[in-house]
Parts: sequence; structure tokens; C-alpha cells
Amino acid sequence: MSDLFRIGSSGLNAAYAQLQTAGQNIANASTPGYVRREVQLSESVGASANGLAGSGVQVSGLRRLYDAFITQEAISSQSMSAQDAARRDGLSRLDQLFSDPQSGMGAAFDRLVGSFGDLSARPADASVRTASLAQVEGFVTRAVSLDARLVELRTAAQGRLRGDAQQANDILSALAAYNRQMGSHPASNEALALQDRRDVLLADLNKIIRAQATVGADGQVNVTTSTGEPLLMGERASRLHFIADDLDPSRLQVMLERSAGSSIKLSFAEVGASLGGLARFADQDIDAARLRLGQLVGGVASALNAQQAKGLDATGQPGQALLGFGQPAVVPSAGHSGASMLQASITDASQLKASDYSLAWDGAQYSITRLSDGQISQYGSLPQTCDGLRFEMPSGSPVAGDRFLVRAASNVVQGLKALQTHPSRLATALPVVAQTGAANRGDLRAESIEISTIGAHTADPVSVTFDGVGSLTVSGVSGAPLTLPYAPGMTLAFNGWSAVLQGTPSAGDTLNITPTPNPASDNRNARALQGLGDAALIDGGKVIDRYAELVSDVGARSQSAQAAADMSARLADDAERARSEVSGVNLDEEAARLLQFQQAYQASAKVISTASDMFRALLAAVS
Amino acid sequence: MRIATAYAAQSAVEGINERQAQLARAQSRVSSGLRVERPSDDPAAAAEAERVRSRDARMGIELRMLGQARQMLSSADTALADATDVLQSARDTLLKAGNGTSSAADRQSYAIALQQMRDQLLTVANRGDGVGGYVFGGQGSVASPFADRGLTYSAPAGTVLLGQEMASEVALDGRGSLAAVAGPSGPENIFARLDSAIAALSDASQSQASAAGIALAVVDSVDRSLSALSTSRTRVGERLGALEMHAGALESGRIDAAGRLSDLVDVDFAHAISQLSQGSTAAEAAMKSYAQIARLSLFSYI
Repeated sequence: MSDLFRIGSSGLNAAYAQLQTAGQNIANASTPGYVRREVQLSESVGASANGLAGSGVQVSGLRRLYDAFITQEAISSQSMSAQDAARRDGLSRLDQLFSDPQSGMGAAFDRLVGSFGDLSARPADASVRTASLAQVEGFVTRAVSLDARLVELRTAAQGRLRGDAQQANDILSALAAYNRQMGSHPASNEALALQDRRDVLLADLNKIIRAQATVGADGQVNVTTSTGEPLLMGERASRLHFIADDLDPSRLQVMLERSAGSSIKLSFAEVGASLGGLARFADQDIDAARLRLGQLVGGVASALNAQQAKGLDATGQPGQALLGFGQPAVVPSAGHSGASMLQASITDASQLKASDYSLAWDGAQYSITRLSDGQISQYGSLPQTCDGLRFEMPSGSPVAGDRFLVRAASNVVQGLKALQTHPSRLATALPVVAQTGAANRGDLRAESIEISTIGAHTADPVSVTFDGVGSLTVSGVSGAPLTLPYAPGMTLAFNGWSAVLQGTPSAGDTLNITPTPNPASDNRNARALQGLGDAALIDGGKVIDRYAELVSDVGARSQSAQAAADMSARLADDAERARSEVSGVNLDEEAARLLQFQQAYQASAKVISTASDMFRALLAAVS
Repeated sequence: MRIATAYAAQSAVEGINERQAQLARAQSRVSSGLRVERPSDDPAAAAEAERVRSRDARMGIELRMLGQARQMLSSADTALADATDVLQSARDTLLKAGNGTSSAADRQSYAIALQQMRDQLLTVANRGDGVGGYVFGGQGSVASPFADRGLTYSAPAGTVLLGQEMASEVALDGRGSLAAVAGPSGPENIFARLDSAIAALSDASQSQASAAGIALAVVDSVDRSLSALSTSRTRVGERLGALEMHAGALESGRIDAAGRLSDLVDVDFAHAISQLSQGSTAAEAAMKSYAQIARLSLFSYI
């Protein structure tokens, strides 16, 4: 009879444990990372006194409903999603900078070109000159503030990188503490909750850095990077930190400090997750925009300066440069040993590529690498000119292994400024005019005059006379008188100017090149300045085409980052659903179980009360 | 398939969020009127819009320059007409003086009339072009081009070009038509020629025949000048016509550009509004269905 009591009470115990577990599942239905549990029952070993029945049920354990593969899948897809989301968030801010075409660089350049048009219509009007200088200033302001915004975005992304790495370090410390706890109570019930906590920490860690976890037999977890560098070994956690990149100090290099105190470099590509996404945005996406901007501004500035230099300002002086811009900056790599110093300068900004360069000396050759596409040019000696840049090493000799970063396009906007403040400084005039002789009977004329450089003799009077047979006599130039055969369309070039001659001259007809009498009212160089608006100034392309490329490049990057983030978010969601199908709590299911276990409890209680009734009946029969 | 309650709730909330975000985007498009609000909405259209905007800006400037060119050429046309009128009157007067029956007193009065005409002609020749320069300014002049009572032409001979796409000559060369008109024995200054007639007519000691001879010789000079002025005027008329056509082309070009820009970046309202109403239906459906399913719970029946 006592068997029955024991069987009943074991059933009562088992049902109670199940009710407790259902209650725990219900209570934690919304707890992140909670893995639903199930009581494991088994029949008690041992027979009843009469050998007919067993000895009830026993609670053999508590099981987490957990699939390691599916959980790993959920964690790694979240890691990918965090990487894409970090880049998308950055790019959407970058994209926003180009949202208003009317306030963009393209519009600023067009307003500048338009003001040169006004200048060509009324070169003598001081108010038009002032307005034109204001547009030069406007172009500068727009470029400088856009570049500053790009740098700000990079700084903000780097701030987030540091914050995320700090968080990853905190998580690694927490995991080390978990391992310590697992070491002290390996198989207690408490361990189930610890395992949940561990998985939450691993999932959080994977949102910041892609990591692989291995759980040992003792329940302790070891974590490595995707390439196998140890992040956590037992209770020893490594630490992530940043140093300035040794070739490009404006970039961050992520380092892993193992507990021994030695640090190794990690690449952002292998780090992945939000660190990888942020670094790609900061180092590649923003750089690409800055390089294109620098290329564009450099081309515009040097073309304006070159055109200014071909003209005379309102006071008759040769035009001075309108814009100052940054020359390349040379950064020796951190391990630079030689006393050599590289110098780089822009020789022809119209050939500038949207790239920075690195120069390395291997003991026999200089290798100049264009960083945008990795194209390498090798030279046995310096100076050399490549992509509109001149590389030279004025002092010292290099040691094999010396490397330098040459920031060319990305340094242009740094130091961009308008140099002229007085309206008269705009060189709207050309230095010479061509006039036909008053007594000419033919129609000999100079179709157009171009200036290559203004020199000491550019404005020297030059006279051309037709001999009536087929030759021109040129006087006023060195070696004069010169005799040249005449043909319509021929180019006459002396003293820094060139003129295309047209017409059918008569004997004695003359053409005189003389200094421009009224530079303030001459519009010819203003027209040339305006003409730059549609000239191929930037590596063979028009300014507006290059700017449109910048806009579409930023847009396409942002668009594809958005698509990638959407896609990986969907994959992460699918994986999370699969995980929750196994491990998540369904309240309706728990409600059904509650009913089931409640009934089992009541039934076991009934077994005990039956045994008690039988016992009482037996006593009554005996007494 | 088991559904975890927390996941179902979370995914329903995310679904509603996404619908609302879509709705907000559709709403923003309708209120801004733009389909491409930022380059990532359509990178190729954003780039093309940048080119169209730039082309439109160029046409705007070209039109403004062209307006000024028309104003300068109109001033030139008027000045040429006035100069022609004055020279025509001078020619009539010179012919009368040269017809062989005039008395010394007549000649004196012709000389006075001619002097007035010469002064008028000088005023016309030094007339401003309305934008700070001179009609007969040649390649650009900061002072009256006909100096020394018209006897010296101080501007550089030639003309000024205006306009980037269609460069148009907007200034008149005062040398070929007035200051140094090609004559049989070299260039003649029309003012000097008039001066010689005035001197001969007002000189009482000159014989009638000699004065008449000088007057008739000056008529030839005046004719050559008139012919040069007429050629100039024809050219100005041609240029004005060409400018007119170019302006028309630019204006229709700007209308095309505006249409093209609108095609590229503006929202198609019918499409956007249907998207908006679709979006709001979808958001409503997401909410309603979640509210309905979330109410379903076994606990309600225990």
C-alpha cells in the first residue's frame, strides 16, 4: 500500500516540476535569448513489493530545447546584417549631402561660369566684377564645407568604431566571467540560465565582430575571430583597440591585444560585423567621394588660374591666380628608416586621378602605386611624373623598404581658398589686339588671338605686311624682318601669342599687333574663362560630367548598401524565426501544457487519496 | 511549425514599422513632388538631372547675354540710321551748294547748316551703347572713340564678340564707315571731308566754281561713307535676326530641359497617390490582422 503512496507522490512531484517549468517558460516568453525548457521524465527503477508495478516516475533532468546549428546560423546571419546596416546608415547620411542639386557643387560651378558670362558682357562694370569674385568665393565655400562634412562623417564613423570595440571588450569580459562561473558550478541548474546568457552575449558580440565559439565539455566557451585569432581562452579575454594606420594615419587600424600583452593587426574584412561595415564606410566610401571632389576642385582651380595667367586685369597687369589649393601631402610609413624625404607636387591638375598614391623603394626600383585601382608604375630613378604629379627626392637616399603615402586628390580641398579680393584683379582682357591697317584694300584679318604665356615681349608691337605676291613680312620680332609664305588659315605665333590669319590681302596690306589699349573694357579673356565651363578640365571630362559621376557613385553605393542591408536583414530574420521555432516559447502551447500538467497533478493526488481511502477501509475492517 | 509568441509579436511590430516607413516615404514624395529626393533613389536619374540642370543654367546665361547683345545691336541700328539721316541731309546740302547758281550768302548759310550736321554726326558717332560702352567702340573703348572733334579714331579697330554658343559681333567699327573710309586715294575721314567743304563754302574769297567743285567732291566721300554705313546696317539687321532665332531655340531648349528634369526627378502624382493609398491600406491591414490574431489565446478559454 505504501507503494501506491510513493507512486502517487512521485507523480505529484513530476507534475509539479512540469508546472514549474511551464510557469518559467511563460514568465520568460519575452526574455531575449531565453531557451524554452522541458522536464525530462523517466520511470523510476525498481519494482513494487508484489513485483507487479514499478515505483513511479522520476524527474531525470531539465532540457533546453536548443539546436546548436540553427542558433549558430542565427548568430552569424545577424552578424552579416549588422555589417550591412552599419554601412547603410553611414551611406544614407552621405547620400543626404547630395540631395539638393541647387545647393551642390555642380550648381556652384555653374553660377561661377554664369558670372564669367556676365563679365564678358560688361567687363568694365565694377559691380559685375564684384559679383563674379563672390561666385569664386561661393565655389570655394561650397567645396570646403562639403569636404568638411565628409571628414565629419568619417570622424563620426570612427567614434562609433571605438564605441563598438569598447562594447565588444565588455562582452568579452562578461564571457570570461561566465567561464569562471561555469568552472565553479559545472552542472547545476543555474547553468541553464548561464547558457542562455552566454548565447545572448555571443550574439551581441557577433553584431560587432564576427566570432566563432566552441563550447568545451566543461561548459566553458572559447571564442576566436573568423581567422582563428583567440578572443577568449578560458578566463582570459583579449582586447580590441585601435591605432592609427601606419601608412595612412587618418585611418584606424584595429588591433587585438592578447592577454600576454602582445598585439596583432586584424583586417577589417576578417573582423566583419559592425566594425567591418563602419570601417568600409569610413575608409572606402567617404574616401571615394573625397577623392572625386578633390580631383574636380583641383582641375577647376588650376584651369581658372591658367586662364587668368593668359589675360590682363583691369589695371593692365598680368592676371594672378584666383584660387589656392592644397599640394600633395607626403606621409612616410611608420617604419620609415631612411633619411630620405619624398616631395610630390601637382604639375597638371587636369590629369589628376581620383586617387592617392603610395611610393615604395625596394633597393632597386621605385614603385608608384595608384591606390584607387592598384596600378603600379616602376622607375629606376626620381624625379618622375605620373598622372599629373611629380615625385622627387631632393635630399637623402632611400633605404630598401621605405614607403610613403602621397595624398594627392584628397589633399586638394584642404587649403582651397580664394586669393583675389579686389574686383579689378579678374583678368578679363587679352594682352594684345590685332588691327588691320587703315589703308588696307584686301580683307586680311586675324580671326582669333590666343595667348600661351605672357612674357616680357608679349605686348611688343608686331607688324605684318603682305607683299602682293604671296609672302608676309613680319617686323617687330626677333630676327625681323621675317618673310613667311601666306596661306589663309595660317597661324602666326610670336612672343607668347598666336593668331590665325584669314582673308585675301592686297599688296601693302598690313596687320598690326599692339598692346590692348583698354584692358578694363576688353572681354576676350572673360569669354575664355566662361568657355572653361564646358571644357574637358578633369582628366579628359567636363566638370559637370565628373560631378554627375560623383553624385551617381554616391547614390549607387547608398542604393546597393540599402539593398544589401535589406537582404541580409531578411536572411537574419529567417534564421531568427528558425531559431525561435525551436527555442522560443509559444504561450498557447504552454497553456495547453498547463492544463495537461494540472490534470496530471490532480490525477496523482487522486492516487494518493485513493491509497488513503483504501488504508482507512482496511483499518475500519480490522477494528 | 511552431511559432514562438515573442517572435510573432516582434515580427508583427516590425512589419507594421516597415509599412509605416513605406507610407512615410510615399507621403514625402507626394509632399515634395519629387521621385528622386536623394541620389540613392535613382543614381542614374540624379546624375542625368545634374547634367540637365547645368545645361539649363548655361542656356539661362546665354539668354541673358543674348538679351544684352540685342540691346547693343538695337542701339547700333538706331545710331546707324541716325548717322545715315544726318549724312543724307549733308549730301542734299552739298549738292545744292555744288549746283553752280548759289551766291556767296547762300554758300555761307549752307556752311552753317553743314556745320550743325557735322556736330550732330559727331554726337551720333560717340553715342553710348546703353551698357557702358560705345556703339562705335571697336574692340572696346573707355572714352569717346571719336576724339579731336572726330578727326582721330581712338578705339582699336575691330569689334567685340558676345555670347558663348553663338558669338555675335556687338560693336561697330567706326573706322571703316566714318573715320577712315576707303577712298580712291587712301582712307578719308568723313569729319575732315565735311570740314573741307565747310571751309570752302564759308570762305567768301573762294570762287563759286571752286567752292562748288569742292562740295561735289565731298559728296563722293559722303556717298562712300553712306554705303559703308548701309553695309554695317545690313549686317546688324542680319545679326539681330540670327540672335532672335538663337533666343527662340534657347527658350524652347529651356522648356525641354524643364520637361526633361521633371521626367527625371519629379513624382508621377497619379502613381504616387495610388502608392500612398495602397500603402495606407497595407499598413491598416497589417495592424488589423495583428490585432485580431494577437487576441487569439488559449488563456482566454481556461
